[in-house]
Amino acid sequence: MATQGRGRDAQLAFGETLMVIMVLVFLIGIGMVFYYSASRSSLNTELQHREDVQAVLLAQRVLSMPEVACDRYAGGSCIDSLKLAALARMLGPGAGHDAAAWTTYYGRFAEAAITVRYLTGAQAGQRLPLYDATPKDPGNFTAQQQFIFTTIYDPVADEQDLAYLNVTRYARRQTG
Amino acid sequence: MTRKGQLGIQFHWVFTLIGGILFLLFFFVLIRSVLHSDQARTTRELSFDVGTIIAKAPLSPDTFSVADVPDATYRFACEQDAQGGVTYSYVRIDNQSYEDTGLRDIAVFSPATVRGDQLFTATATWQAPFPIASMVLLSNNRTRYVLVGLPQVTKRFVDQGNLGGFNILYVGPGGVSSVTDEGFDRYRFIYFGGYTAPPSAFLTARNSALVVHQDPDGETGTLDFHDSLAPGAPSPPGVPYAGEAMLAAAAFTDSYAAFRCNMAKAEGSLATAKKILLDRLKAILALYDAGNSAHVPDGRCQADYLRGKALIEAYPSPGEESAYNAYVQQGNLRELEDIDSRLVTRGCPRLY
Amino acid sequence: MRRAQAEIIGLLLIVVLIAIGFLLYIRFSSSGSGSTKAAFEQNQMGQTFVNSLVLAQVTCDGRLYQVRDLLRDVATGTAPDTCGDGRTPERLLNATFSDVLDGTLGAWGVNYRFLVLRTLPDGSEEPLSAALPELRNAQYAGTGTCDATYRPRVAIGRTVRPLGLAGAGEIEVRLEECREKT
Repeated sequence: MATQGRGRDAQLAFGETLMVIMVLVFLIGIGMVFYYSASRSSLNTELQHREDVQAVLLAQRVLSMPEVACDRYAGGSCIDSLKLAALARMLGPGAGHDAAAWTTYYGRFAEAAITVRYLTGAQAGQRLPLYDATPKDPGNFTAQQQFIFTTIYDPVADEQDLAYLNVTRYARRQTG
Repeated sequence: MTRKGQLGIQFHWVFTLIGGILFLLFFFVLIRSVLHSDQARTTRELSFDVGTIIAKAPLSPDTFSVADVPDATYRFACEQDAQGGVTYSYVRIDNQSYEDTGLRDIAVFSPATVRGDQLFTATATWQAPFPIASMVLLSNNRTRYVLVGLPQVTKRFVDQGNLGGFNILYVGPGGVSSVTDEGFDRYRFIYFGGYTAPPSAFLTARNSALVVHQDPDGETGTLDFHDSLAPGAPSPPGVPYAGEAMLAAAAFTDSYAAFRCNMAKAEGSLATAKKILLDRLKAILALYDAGNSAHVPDGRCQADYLRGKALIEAYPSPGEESAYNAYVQQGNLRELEDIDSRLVTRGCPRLY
Repeated sequence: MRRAQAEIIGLLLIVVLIAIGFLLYIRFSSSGSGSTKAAFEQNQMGQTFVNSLVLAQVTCDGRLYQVRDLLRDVATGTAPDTCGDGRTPERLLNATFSDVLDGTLGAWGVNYRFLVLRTLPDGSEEPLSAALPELRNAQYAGTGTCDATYRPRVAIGRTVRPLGLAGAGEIEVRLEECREKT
């Protein structure tokens, strides 16, 4: 009888220890789930911020391309309207399309769309599509849009007009 | 009975010890993995930040910038395939890279390794003679550039490129023997004239030299790259250059291979820049044909535009080195510049 | 003995919880460098707006002026009396600013305030001209200062041009946005 009582005590003690360990493991498991989900959310925020920065960089980069820059005597940094029109023809779908130029600029801009809109001067209100590589499946992409202002210099008329670039950058959605 | 109890107590402690060790091991692994992922995240963010610093540089041409970065070793690499196309170009921080093609279309001229907590950047617009591409010059205060040559030549090189913020030491011709080792990570000797070996303390693989043979106009010449100053290191034949930006690029990179690879990135813009200019000239010349009296430039300018158009059409493509040498030797770059200056004087739209 | 075991388990539990808390702290306490992030705020739109606006040209009295030059002439009293269409230079500039802002920042829903000020040598500010009032996005009512509904104003673009005359101060073209300060 006494032996059975001691056996039962031992089982109870063992069971108690086991319960404590299970509770411990459960708590640790909860902690790890919380940690990894917070970590994932932080990563998504980080990735979103990166995409925003890349979109801003792209917009600024278009402004500073030497191949369309106006000459330095035109009153500050600006874009040459004739060079801009030439590049738009090379990158556009029309007769002036240049496949090699397209390849070069697609390597730089990737999936993006860039449009120039004139605000003052003789071409005020007019739009000039410069580059359009909008993805065929936009649902799989997130879009960041940036507006950046500049002046466009007409070297023949010697006029400098205000304009802005509407730059939309598409980034593939992160899955999982 | 007592023996059984003693045995029981011993066994009890063994299980406790094993359980404790397993527990500690579990937490050791967990902490290590968190710290490792935190380190990876920091490196990833830093890699992105450094990439952003470099990508921002061309947006402010002729501006010298200092960026504070975490103290680390930054390695810059650029690789080309057999056809000369750039395959990989990246910056690695403490030997970790987030993106191996991050710098593929930004021409960065820097030492292969930059160590420290600051990055210096300047941007030069490559013009030969029309604007072609932006080139980022990068270094820090632990790389010393020793410019050997006449003061008016070396100072002009620095002032024109807005390079005064870099770690530069001016030495007169023949004065290179007076240079002392002040403990910088590396030294790059740039000779505007003949090469004289620096003191023996500098004759190591980590230091390098560039010998510049300038043509009288100062815009063109040839470059001799000495990637290593160690005794017996090979020196390749002279490489032609055109434009001060290209000279500055050669000065800031420390190997011919890195120079060539990053120039390939810049040359990627050459074909497009040429086509844009020709299209622009076509538009200007069309005004003469249309007789648009309101905006036709001065009649004397038409001949200059036609000549400029012919010269730009004949401009050699990248890689055609002998054709390019012949083009330069015929004085065509100088003629393009003269045409452009004449157009400005006459109040006509410029050539480029 | 059982009580001792329970106490040891309890201590262990506390240690485990502290360790988990510490790990979470390590994971989320470090943040990336702030300088590059801050540099890429919306300010690039505002900064390019004012920098480009002052370089753009307008026609006044048959002549092309860059906005910055016409503003300086207005400030120094050397601008033409009229721009040839019945408008003074100030009214021409105000109409230009208003049209541009309405078609851009206004249309994009930016809560802006645009001002042209003269900064005097003693540091005080005054509007450059009564004919160049501050311009605000029409859809946002309220006073010039952001009220309790809108968050504090942040300058997202400004450009300062010296007037070129000793003791005359400077012209400041400023664009502000009502939003959270970062």
